Amino acid sequence: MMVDMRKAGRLGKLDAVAPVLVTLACIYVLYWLGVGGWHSFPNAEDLTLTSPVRSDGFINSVVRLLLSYDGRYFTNMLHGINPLATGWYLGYGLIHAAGIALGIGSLCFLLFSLAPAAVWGWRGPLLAALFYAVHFAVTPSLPHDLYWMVSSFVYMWPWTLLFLFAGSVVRYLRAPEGWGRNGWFAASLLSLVCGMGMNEMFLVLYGLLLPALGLWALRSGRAVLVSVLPLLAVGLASALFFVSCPGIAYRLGSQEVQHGMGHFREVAAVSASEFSGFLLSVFTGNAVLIPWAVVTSLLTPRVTAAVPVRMGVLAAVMLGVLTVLYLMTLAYYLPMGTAFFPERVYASVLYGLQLLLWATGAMAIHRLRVPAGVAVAASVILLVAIVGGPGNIRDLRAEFHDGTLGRFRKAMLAHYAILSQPDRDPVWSLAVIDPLPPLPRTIATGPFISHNRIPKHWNKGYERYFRWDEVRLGTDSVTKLQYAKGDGKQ
Amino acid sequence: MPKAMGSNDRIRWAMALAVMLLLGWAGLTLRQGGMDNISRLKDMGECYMRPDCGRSIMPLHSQETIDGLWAQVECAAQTDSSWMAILPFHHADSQAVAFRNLLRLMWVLYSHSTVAAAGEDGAIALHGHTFVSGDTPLLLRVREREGHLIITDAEGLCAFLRKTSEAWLRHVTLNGERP
Repeated sequence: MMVDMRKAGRLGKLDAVAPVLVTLACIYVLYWLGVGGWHSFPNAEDLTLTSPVRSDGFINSVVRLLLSYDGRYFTNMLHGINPLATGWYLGYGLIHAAGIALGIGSLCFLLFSLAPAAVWGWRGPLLAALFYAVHFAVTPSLPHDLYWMVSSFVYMWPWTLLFLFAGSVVRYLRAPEGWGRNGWFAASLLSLVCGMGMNEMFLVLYGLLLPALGLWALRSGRAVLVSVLPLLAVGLASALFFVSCPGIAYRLGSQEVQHGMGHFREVAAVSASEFSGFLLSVFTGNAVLIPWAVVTSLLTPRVTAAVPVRMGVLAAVMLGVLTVLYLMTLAYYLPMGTAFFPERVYASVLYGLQLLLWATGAMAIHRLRVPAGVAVAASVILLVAIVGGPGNIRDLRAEFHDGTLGRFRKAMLAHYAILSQPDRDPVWSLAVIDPLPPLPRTIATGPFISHNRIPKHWNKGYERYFRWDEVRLGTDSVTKLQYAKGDGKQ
Repeated sequence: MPKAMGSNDRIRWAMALAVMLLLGWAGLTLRQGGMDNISRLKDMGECYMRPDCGRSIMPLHSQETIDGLWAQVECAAQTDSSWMAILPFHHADSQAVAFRNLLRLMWVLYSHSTVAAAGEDGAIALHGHTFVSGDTPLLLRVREREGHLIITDAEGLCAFLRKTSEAWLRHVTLNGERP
């Protein structure tokens, strides 16, 4: 299908202000995300997962997780490729900055792959930045999505890899035969292998995306099929590697996973209910998403397909993508059960929902008679909703102004000053740290060091990372040895 | 692989095959080593450990307890390089018991060298040597504290052995027990 892209022509003179307003919205959100990042620190699970890299080495730490915990090979590699793994824990905030920058960059790369950069102009980077700004403004959990490193590797970073893969594939298929095309193939291959090793949810997505790509190639002719087949083969190999890792069987075995249709029906029902609840809350719980969809659709360069897109097709696409997103949540619920609402999962689902809104909105809005001024009106609502409406940015600002963020940072710095002390008792090194103040809801979530080592493995994370024999809270009534002897167990 | 491909197609298939071979080799290697361990773990019934929430400390209070806990020790040896063993070290008899069990522990660790990894804390550093061959193999760091031996990391066992009477070692071997 030939696609002709022209710059949007529906914007009136007043609407020229819209890009300025959304730029301000982006800057505002990114500023507050930066403030949050400045105050964020690793939790015990970050330390637990990065300390083996320092003690056992990169390969050993990855292999150990693949043997005993999961098949997320690239996520496990990322545990060893970050400032924390080098011991530079104060560089933790850079991981969030890198996550956002790579996310925006990869989305911009995808946009520039779909149409030449000249067509997008400044709109490409602006709309990519706005996509992420809006996402973080309304995501169900900022810590799970962004500020908790190992969680963001699983729920945010796979989208970055997906954008890179999609953009690379488009460039590969469009490039003239030669080394340049081979280069784009290599980029597609790399991003595919990495992207498929991050999260079980994305196995579902790739499991549907790659066969769809294959079907499209089959219908497009032999040459396209020959070009796409190696990617499909590698995708299959990556999926097989992921699901055959012993760690998955080991972990599932330990979680007493239920089997059978009864369990499946229960999970399907509960997750469908929660998925619907999420959709409802994300559209009604803030005044950001809908204005964003309107303004971003209007600012998107106009796409005129040779075959006009019918509303029925759009509705089918929407239903199909929502079904895929729902199936992605099942990949979490089936093994983990339905005990609680997994905010992290829906944080990741939100990216897909935004993409759906953007794509369908951009295709549909140019078929409508949009009066002049709608873009600027939507931008004003968007800006006001982000600055003053309910959402993560207002919460971040509130926690900054009431001192919650500052107290947390001060307490964490005090912890690290103690934990980094070089002078230690050679017989039994003991670090005693104060309990943390109440956690800032917007940037931190557990686990952190626990009282009386219950559960003990988070204390162990601190002990392994900072290389102490014992790390204890000042309020603990049980030492490690007493705990070992059973005195502190419940 | 489709027939009648161009040279660039062949290059791309070569790249894809290289990646698939790498994934296949890694997957088979992982499964071969990992599934054996998992099936053994399953045989051990309730005993379950994983690296980030395993038993970071293994309390061994008495001979009776020790005997009851060997299955768990084996699990620990296979799955978690971050754990510790605390052995009783109160008086002569229990010292003998403690040391014997220390040697048994080393043997268990050695026998599961597929998951052995050097580490700073409770780590297993076997490097493929046997303890009984006198090839200076392993070494767990041992500290005395509050009447216990605390095995913590991969350094210092030799110091411990030097400090400990050689008689204990003789005691173990003369009894015909392989640690």
